[in-house]
Amino acid sequence: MENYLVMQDVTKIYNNGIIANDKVNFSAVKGEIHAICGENGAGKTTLMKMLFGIEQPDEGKIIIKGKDMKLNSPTDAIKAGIGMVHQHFMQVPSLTVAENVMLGIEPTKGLVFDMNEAVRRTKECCEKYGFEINPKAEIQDLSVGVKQKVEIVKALVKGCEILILDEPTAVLTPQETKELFVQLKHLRDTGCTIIFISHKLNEVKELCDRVTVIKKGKTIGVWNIKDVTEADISRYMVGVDVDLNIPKAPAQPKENVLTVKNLTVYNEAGKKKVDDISFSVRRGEIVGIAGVEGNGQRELIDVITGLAKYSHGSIVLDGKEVKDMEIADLREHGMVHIPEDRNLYGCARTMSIKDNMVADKIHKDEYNSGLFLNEKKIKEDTDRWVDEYLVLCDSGEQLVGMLSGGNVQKVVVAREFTSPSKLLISDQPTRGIDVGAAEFVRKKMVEMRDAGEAIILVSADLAEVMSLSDSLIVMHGGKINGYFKDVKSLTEEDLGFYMLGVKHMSEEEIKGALHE
Amino acid sequence: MNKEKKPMFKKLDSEAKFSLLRMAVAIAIGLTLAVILIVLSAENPAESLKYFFLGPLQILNPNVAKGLAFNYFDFWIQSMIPLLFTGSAVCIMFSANKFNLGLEGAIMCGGLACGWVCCLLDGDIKAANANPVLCAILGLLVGAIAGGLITSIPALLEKKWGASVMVSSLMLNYISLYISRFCLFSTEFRDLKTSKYSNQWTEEVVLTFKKFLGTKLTLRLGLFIGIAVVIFAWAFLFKTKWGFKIRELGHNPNFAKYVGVGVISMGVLVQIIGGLIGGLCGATVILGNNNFYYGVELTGYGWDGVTMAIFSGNNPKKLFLATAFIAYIRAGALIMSTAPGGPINELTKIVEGVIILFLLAEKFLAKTHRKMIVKEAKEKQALKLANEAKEAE
Repeated sequence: MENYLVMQDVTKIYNNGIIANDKVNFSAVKGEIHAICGENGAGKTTLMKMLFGIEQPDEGKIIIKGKDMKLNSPTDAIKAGIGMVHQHFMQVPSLTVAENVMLGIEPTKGLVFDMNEAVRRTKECCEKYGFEINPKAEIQDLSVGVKQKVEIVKALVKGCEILILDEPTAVLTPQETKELFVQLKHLRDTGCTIIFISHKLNEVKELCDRVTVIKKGKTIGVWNIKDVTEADISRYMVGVDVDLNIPKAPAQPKENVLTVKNLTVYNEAGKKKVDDISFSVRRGEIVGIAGVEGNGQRELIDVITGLAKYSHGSIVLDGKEVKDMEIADLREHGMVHIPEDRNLYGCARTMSIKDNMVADKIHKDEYNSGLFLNEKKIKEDTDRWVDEYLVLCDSGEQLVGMLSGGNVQKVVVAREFTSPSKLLISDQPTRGIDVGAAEFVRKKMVEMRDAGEAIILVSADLAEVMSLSDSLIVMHGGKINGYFKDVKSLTEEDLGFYMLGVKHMSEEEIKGALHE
Repeated sequence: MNKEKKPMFKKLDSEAKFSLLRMAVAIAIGLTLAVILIVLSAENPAESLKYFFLGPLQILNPNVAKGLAFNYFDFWIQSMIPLLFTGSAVCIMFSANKFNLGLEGAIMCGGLACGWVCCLLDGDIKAANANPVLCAILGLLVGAIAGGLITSIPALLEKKWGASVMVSSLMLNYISLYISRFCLFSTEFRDLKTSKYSNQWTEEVVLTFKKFLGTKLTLRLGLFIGIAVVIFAWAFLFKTKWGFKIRELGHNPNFAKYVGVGVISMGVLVQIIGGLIGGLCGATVILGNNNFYYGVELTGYGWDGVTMAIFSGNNPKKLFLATAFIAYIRAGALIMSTAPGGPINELTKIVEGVIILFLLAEKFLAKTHRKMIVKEAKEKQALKLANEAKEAE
């Protein structure tokens, strides 16, 4: 099968002028697991979006089973036997597994949806490929790992022969990842071609047959996985050896900056998301918060940063109750925040880099002269920050929307780190940014800690949480399920057990999170 | 660093070039349509076209014999004045994503309040004899405040109960209209002699000087107030911290909240400012044209403000050109329609509508835009490669 799947000289230019793919070549054969590796922003996702018909290439050819294809929409791609599992699942939480799987190809009896047939077909597909899922369960009751399997079944049921998985393990615990891999290998043995996008090299090495490396929108090469080491791949991806370990002296924690006591938070639907938790963060330490997504971390961060309100319990920032302060007061009081979603909260994409960097300090006297803004001072400072924080851009006047993800994050970080502060809340600070930028952000955080900042770090990247944090809180079901005073003694596997709620700590041990 | 700066200006240029191109094409389509309509409907197309395109430039129509001794140039200026105000008001409100459509009401109430004040100070009601300059200033001031008050109602309703600004502001326009009619028909404000207009104030308060200093020119102070308002709106939006926060709110409300902008109070503030300008507009128009109040219909200036804001992309700096253009074709159409056998005045509405349609249609010329982007990206890359090659040497 020479021409099973070939993408030839594919180029894609986005509307902001960024060349995401520049004459990329990629090919896969039947029945292999083929990894696409590259830094974040290298163009992996764009390439796959074109294969799945979400984006159309500006130049180049896509050949499937020897035929030159024009994929104008995902419908075309599905017809051509391609399925994609996105990073964010496309599911209706209130419907059952069978209903979700059948979305778009609903079996009908007369005019009504044929539930029995839907269940039968879902079951058949699950059995054929060895997935253990109850077709009648509602999506909202399932764990992330199972939801992902549903997503795969959704693709398979439509007759997919080429399955694209976009960073499928990003949201999984180590245990769930292992299980997924067993199933993917089984799928491959039944003749399915799997394209596995990831930048976790150990997983690529364990799972895949071949690997294509993409760097800055260009193909670097294709290798058989047994011919290369993880270090090799890493070098091809980045170009230089990257040391993922940040040098860090032991923490010297001082007094409490943030004290959370018996905090309970309900979401808008009235569901309890944070359940009676207490902890504190001290000057000069990084407290990590780990947990499977959706276990109350977001709600916790939202109330600490003032984005949402709480009614039960207390959060005290440097002697003042957070509830009584508006976000402007909180910031005045020394809170800075790197938000989880940099495009939603962290920046205004249609404003300039300069405006974005100065947005939280615009009211300060130093940036105003009389009634008017002191534009000279604003320009001086932001130009300096652009240099200091290594933002790759033409000038500070450029719109933030024109930058790559990593550089947008540097703009966010520059803004937050250049305001005087006592508490930094760092929510997924390195998600989706390239290795170099991530290393930069991590180093800055350690620097700030050493200068006496209290830092909360929330991250889905276990390696990051474990290497950066001084102490670690694990959240499960809205409660603190484990508190580790010293992260060094913890293994990733053990952390996984606490995240899944398989292991629990005693109440006494958890009380240690609150320093009094 | 210097090497990298060059392509950036090019980039901005291409975006600017595209928006200029889009504007030009939209206007060309609109004007072509106007020409077609005129040719189809006029008795003497050549004459009508001449009036439409050149009429507003004539300071005094030499055709006095035909009884058309209008100062056509003044038509143009006169149509421009309210656009300057309402354009500024809408630019400010839309910059914060506040779609308060209550300018009509603000204009109504501003005019009414101003007229009443002038009648009281220097007019028929009390027959008091205040200084006309003082009277005019007070009239304008009270008018502005009345406008601010009326637009603050939808803003506060939203703040307190989450009522949709768009709906309540639209309703308030009619409430303002009926308040105005009530005052004209059922209060001491009413002029018993004509039954349609209000009591009068002295001519000295009027802001317009016909045959200024013995020339043929008409001097309208309203124009200068309008220009001042536009400059204020621009400086406020782009040169102050409040304007910065307003724009932040418009670009990304989540971001604004996250960096600590008081999103709700800022929203109320912009609407009050918009209303103040609207009220001032109403007052200026009333004092600029006559010495009595005649607000029995909505003026339409509020909607014109939306048109102007779209034309200028919410940047008051561009309002001068935008208002001059729209006022010009309006004056042209009016002049054309007053000539015997000329097509109807409403023609301009069609032209305006078509232009706006093409300006707002996002996919209009999208392919050209795409080509420009692709070309630009490639040029930029080629430049970068060339630079890298040079450095390697």
